[in-house]
Amino acid sequence: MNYRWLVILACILVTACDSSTKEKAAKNVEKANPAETIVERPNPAEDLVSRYEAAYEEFINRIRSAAASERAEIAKTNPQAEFAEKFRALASENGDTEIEATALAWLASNSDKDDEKASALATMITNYPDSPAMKEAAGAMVAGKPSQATEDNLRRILENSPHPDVRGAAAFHLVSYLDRYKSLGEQVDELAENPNAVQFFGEDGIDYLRNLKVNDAEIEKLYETIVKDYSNVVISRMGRETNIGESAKNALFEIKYLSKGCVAPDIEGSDMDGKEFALSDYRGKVVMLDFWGDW
Amino acid sequence: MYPHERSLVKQLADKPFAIIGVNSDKDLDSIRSTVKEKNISWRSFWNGEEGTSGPISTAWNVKGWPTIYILDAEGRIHYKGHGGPEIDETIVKLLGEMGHEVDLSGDDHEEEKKADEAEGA
Repeated sequence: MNYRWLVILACILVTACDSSTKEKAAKNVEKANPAETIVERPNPAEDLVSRYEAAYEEFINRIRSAAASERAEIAKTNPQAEFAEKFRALASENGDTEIEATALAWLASNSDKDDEKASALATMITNYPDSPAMKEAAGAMVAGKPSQATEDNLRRILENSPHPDVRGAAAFHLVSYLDRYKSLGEQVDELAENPNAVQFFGEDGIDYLRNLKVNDAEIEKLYETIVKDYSNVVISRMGRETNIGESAKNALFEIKYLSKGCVAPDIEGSDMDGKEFALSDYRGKVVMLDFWGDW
Repeated sequence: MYPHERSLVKQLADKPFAIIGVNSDKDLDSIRSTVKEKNISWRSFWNGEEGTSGPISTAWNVKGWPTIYILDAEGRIHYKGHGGPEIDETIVKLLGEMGHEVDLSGDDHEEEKKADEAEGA
């Protein structure tokens, strides 16, 4: 386990070093030959995304380290609303540019208004299907209610985006989406009886889940594609970074070794008093293995 | 969940059955006091200081809590999920196959399950 993390960390560091070397090289070219170098216009929306991420991380850390009684007060200082104003302004002042696309992708993920999220996403899908900002927007798609349109849009991005990391993110969100709604689809009759679920998913959503035929082979193939083609893609959501190659490897491990009918892999570790034991010590008994936490 | 598990431990005390936990709380001291307070008698692995990102839950690709697996006497997986009537049904079936007839539909158990829901765990 530890080794695997080291390897991934090493990959990330290598990639990071690699890109900074390229940047330096690009700058040198610029100096040597200014007339022939096309300098891309910087995207102020990307800067704003970085500033938001830093502000949000700082905000989350303040919440985490605060006493429970102070949290409600600190929660009012969430930078989201202030940044939403800035992104709205950037989007409206920079129509038909990558700046608008980046700002819309942010709003689709982070707006506090559901209708604004939906309209930002719809504009992204219609006007900017080839934008690199689609990486962020793909995450916003799966945060909404399940629908045929969401599934189709993710498939379209995965097939057509010119950017490998957008395709990687689309593959990852699509497979996570299919995996999640597969099990929910199996309980669709229970859902249809539950007024809260009907209210949440809507009649259309319930019908969609009822008809959703998830192919296990497709799920496995999508995870394999991610490991093969997109293993270094990192997606970031609400301050948490996920290396999708690593997640896909874990998911494939679960499919291969943790499905019903498999003999469970052993667990060796310490109990809460520090005494070592193993899951296999309990062979001969029916075991309820319970991943729990008191929160 | 605790009342349901306490009830299983109690009702299946003389049967070849065990609950093994994997606890994913970051703070070991505070969870030790919870274990005492809430009478959690079953043994748990501790997932380490990284909490829900710890090594055991990561290796098992656990993304939702609680996640429950039911294993037979050979360690074969018969159930995985997050709760519901299938847990008791699987345990009864597996113990039955080993020659232990058990009935978990008693009043005690039902009450424990209601307490579960009230606790919202």
